[in-house]
Amino acid sequence: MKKSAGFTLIELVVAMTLTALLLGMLTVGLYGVVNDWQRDGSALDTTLDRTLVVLQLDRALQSAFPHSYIDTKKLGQYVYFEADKNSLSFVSTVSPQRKAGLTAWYLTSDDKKGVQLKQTPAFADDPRLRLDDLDPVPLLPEYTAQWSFLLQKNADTKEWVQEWSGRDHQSLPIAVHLTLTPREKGGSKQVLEILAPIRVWRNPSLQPIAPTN
Amino acid sequence: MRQPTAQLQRGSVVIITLWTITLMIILVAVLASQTRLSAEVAYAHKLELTNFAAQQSALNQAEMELMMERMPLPPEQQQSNDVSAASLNQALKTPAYRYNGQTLKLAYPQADNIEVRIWEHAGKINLREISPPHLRQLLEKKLGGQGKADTDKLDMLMDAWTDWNDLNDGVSPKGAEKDYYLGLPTPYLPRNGKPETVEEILNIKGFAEVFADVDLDAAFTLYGQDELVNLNVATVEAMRLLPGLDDDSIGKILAWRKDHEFQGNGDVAQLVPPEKMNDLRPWINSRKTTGYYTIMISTKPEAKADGDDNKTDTTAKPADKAAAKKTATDDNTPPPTAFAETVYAPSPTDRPQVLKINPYQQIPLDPEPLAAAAEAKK
Repeated sequence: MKKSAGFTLIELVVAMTLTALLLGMLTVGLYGVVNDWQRDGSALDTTLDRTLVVLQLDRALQSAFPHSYIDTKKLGQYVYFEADKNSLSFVSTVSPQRKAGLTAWYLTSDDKKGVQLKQTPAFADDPRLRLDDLDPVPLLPEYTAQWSFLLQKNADTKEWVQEWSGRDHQSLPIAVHLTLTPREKGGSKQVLEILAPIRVWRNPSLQPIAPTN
Repeated sequence: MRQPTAQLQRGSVVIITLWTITLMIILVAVLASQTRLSAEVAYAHKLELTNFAAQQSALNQAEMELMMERMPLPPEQQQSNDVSAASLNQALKTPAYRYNGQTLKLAYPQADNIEVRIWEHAGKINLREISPPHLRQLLEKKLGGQGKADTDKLDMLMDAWTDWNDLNDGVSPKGAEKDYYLGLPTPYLPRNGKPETVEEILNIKGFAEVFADVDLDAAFTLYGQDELVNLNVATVEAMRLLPGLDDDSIGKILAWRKDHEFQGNGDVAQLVPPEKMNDLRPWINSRKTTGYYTIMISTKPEAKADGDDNKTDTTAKPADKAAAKKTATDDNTPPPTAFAETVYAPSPTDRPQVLKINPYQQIPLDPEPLAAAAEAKK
């Protein structure tokens, strides 16, 4: 029998199916890998950014400084560290730009905008004089923050409190606990926590005020 | 002429195999680079953590060292049988004078790549206690030398200093108070009290310009009973500001204090010319100690520099490498920093009181080059 010169229809179909199958598998595999890589890369970037922010916050809190200022209206000298439910403001030797001198940090937490930051040099006065005119920058938009402060009540007892005013205490808390909660519930993000001890909590020229019960 | 089908089919098998292999290689390469990236990130993270832990432990050991300074020596260490001149000289030296910024070996060993340095604040000029005539002398030297400085500018700086430090809002003739500072692009109020950090003096009218090239933290302190400086522990930055001292005499002082100790002004007078000594004498006290220290913990830069060099070795030509080195020594690169903690350590039983923490403090000048230059001249 004379051999035919071309392929039979079955041969062609089988070959094409096999090729399509092989290419399809490869494409799916490659697509998966590339996709995975891109997602990992951008996830890595944001994780790194977030880690840096958290690390900076931690360093800044640990390097907090008991900066004092004179209130011209009340004619008193007060330590600067002000915190309520939605804002936390302190003076630190650390600034993101690594500038020399002291920097005042002003953090706000908002359910819609997340954690925002204002910054100004502390100079030698009350930083609030300049903070009011500044626009906040988003720091961790996907998170809201809660803070509490460790108060040395007397030699033996310490207590976590929710608010702090340098004016009442004339000193800094001996530690700050910062909890960052993701705004989206049930997402992949975890709750982040910063526990920063403040070793420089006393201003040498001011006597801390003992809390009254 | 047509080829047999068998041969045709064999050709297509080769092509398909080649393509499959190529795709497989791409797949493996992508996977490998991804794994490598995450491994590198994990490694960098681990290194950073280890370094920070080593830094913190060295910091605690340095605090311990300062506490031990106040304890009596155990009996077996008090007497040594070695009577060579060198060991006697060493034994007679005040141990506290090793806190002059040299790299220290602590009683408890630290990690290999960690450097610990401690400065006793008697080696810096006290800004809280400095008297106006003394400050005027400093400024005069900085503005060109005795008798050569612009008196008008000096008066202005001195009046601005007084206005910043005094409790009132009254303006001295050439000084500046509230109205001037509130008129600046970034307005602020004067302290009207004693400074709390040394960098604060840069905010005083005219001072930023005068001290632009000075590492203030190395030259000045806020602690201690007076503004006198102990040359046994003095920093290069502080000595450069003192009247009567130039780099030549500073080099001699640094070289001499390596194995001697200044007991009094007589020892200093051997190294400083007599006419200069008159200017210097009211500034020095060779027995002063304060109990205030700055501890600086830094990570040795070698390991990192090696890594960078290897990178340039593989990618850059020699000419590029020279250029890279030039930029590395350029003035634009930030000076090396260290984790710094200023403490008051008066007692052998309590932990030192921490007065300031700065994780990114600039490291003061290394005295070695100046000392070496002085020794070479001899």
